[in-house]
Amino acid sequence: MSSRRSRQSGSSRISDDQISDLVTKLQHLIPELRRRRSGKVSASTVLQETCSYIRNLHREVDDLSDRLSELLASTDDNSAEAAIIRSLLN
Amino acid sequence: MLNKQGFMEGWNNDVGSLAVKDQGTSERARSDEKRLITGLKSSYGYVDHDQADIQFQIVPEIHKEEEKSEKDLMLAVPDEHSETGDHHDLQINGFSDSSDNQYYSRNKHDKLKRRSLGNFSDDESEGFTREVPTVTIKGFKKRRRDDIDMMSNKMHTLQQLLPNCHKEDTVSVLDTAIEYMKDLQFQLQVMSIMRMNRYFALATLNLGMHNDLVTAMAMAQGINLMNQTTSPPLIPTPNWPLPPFSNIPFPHTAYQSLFPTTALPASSTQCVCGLAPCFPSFLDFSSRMMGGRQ
Repeated sequence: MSSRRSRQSGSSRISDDQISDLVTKLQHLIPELRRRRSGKVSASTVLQETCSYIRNLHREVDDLSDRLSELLASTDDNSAEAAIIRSLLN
Repeated sequence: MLNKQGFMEGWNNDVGSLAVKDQGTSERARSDEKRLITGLKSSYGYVDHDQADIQFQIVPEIHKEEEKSEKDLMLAVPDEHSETGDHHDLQINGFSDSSDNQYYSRNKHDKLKRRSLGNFSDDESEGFTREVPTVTIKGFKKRRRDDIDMMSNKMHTLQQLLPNCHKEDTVSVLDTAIEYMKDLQFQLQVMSIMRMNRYFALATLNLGMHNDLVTAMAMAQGINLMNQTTSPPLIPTPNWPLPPFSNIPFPHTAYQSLFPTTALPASSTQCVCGLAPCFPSFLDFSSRMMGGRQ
C-alpha cells in the first residue's frame, strides 16, 4: 500500500480490518449502540459498552436464576402437573 | 436457599468479584470515553491513510473531565508510565495490538488538522514516524498515554469478563466477546421464557432445550425470539457445570417420580446438561475456543 507503513503493518493490515469488523459486530449486538448507527462510534465506546452490557447480562442471569429457582421450588408434585409433563414427554 | 457454589466454581469468582468493580467503570464511563475520544482525536494522526477502511470516526465531543479518574480503574494500570516516553513501547509490547486499536478511533478531520499544524515527532514516537499536531491541549502527552492505557485497560476488562478467554490478542478477545454476548442474550431469552410458566421451566430443564422446542414455547407466550441468526447447534457436551443454572435447586421428588431414567443428584447435572446442547454456553464455549480458533 503506502510507504509510510508502520513497522507492524504486515500483520496489522489483516487484523486491522478484522478488528474493525469485530468491533462493528460487537456494536450491533449491544442494544444501546445499535441505535446509534451513525457510523461514528469509537472502539473505546464499543468496548466500554460491551463491558457494562456483559455485566448487566450477568446480573440479569443471576436474577432470573433466582426467580427460576423459586419457581421450581414451588412446584408441587401433584397429579395435574405430572400429567402435563408426561404429555410433554410423549 | 440458593446454592451458588454448586456449579459455579469456575465462574463464581469472576462474576462475584466484578460486583465491586461495577461501580467503578460504569459511572465514569461517559467521561472517560469522552476524554479518550478527545485525546485520540488529536493524537493519532500518523496512521496510513491507505489502510483505508477504517469505519470509525470519533463522535466529536469536547468534554474534558476528571483526568485522573481513570487511574482508579480496578485493573492494574501500570503507573510507571506516567512520565517517560518509553512506556509507549511498553504498551505496544504488552498489549500486542494496542497500536492497532488506535486506528479505528481516528477521525479524518484530524488528518487535515494535523497537516496544517505542522509536524513534530516527540520523544514518544521513537520507532514510529508519528506526526503529532502541536495543538495545545492541556496535558496532551499525558492524555495520549492515558488513552492507550484506557484502550488496553478496556480490552483487559473485557477479557476478565469473558470466561475461558486465555488468548490476549485483540482479535481473539473480540471474537470471544461476540460469541459470549450472543450466548448470554439467548440464554436470557430462554430463561425469561422459562420464568413465565413453570411447566416451560420443567420441560426445558428436562427435555433438553432444542431450538424448536424453545421457539415453540416462545411463540406460545408471544415472545419473539430475535436470535434466529445464532441458532445454537446441538452440541453434546460432557457433564460440565452450567453456570447460569447453578442456583436452581431441582425439585428432586418430582423428578424422581417422573423421570426414572435420570438418576438424581447426578440428575441435577444431567438435567442441566440436557440444556447444554442448546445453550452454546460456556461448556462448549470453551471447547469452541480451543478447537475453533483459527
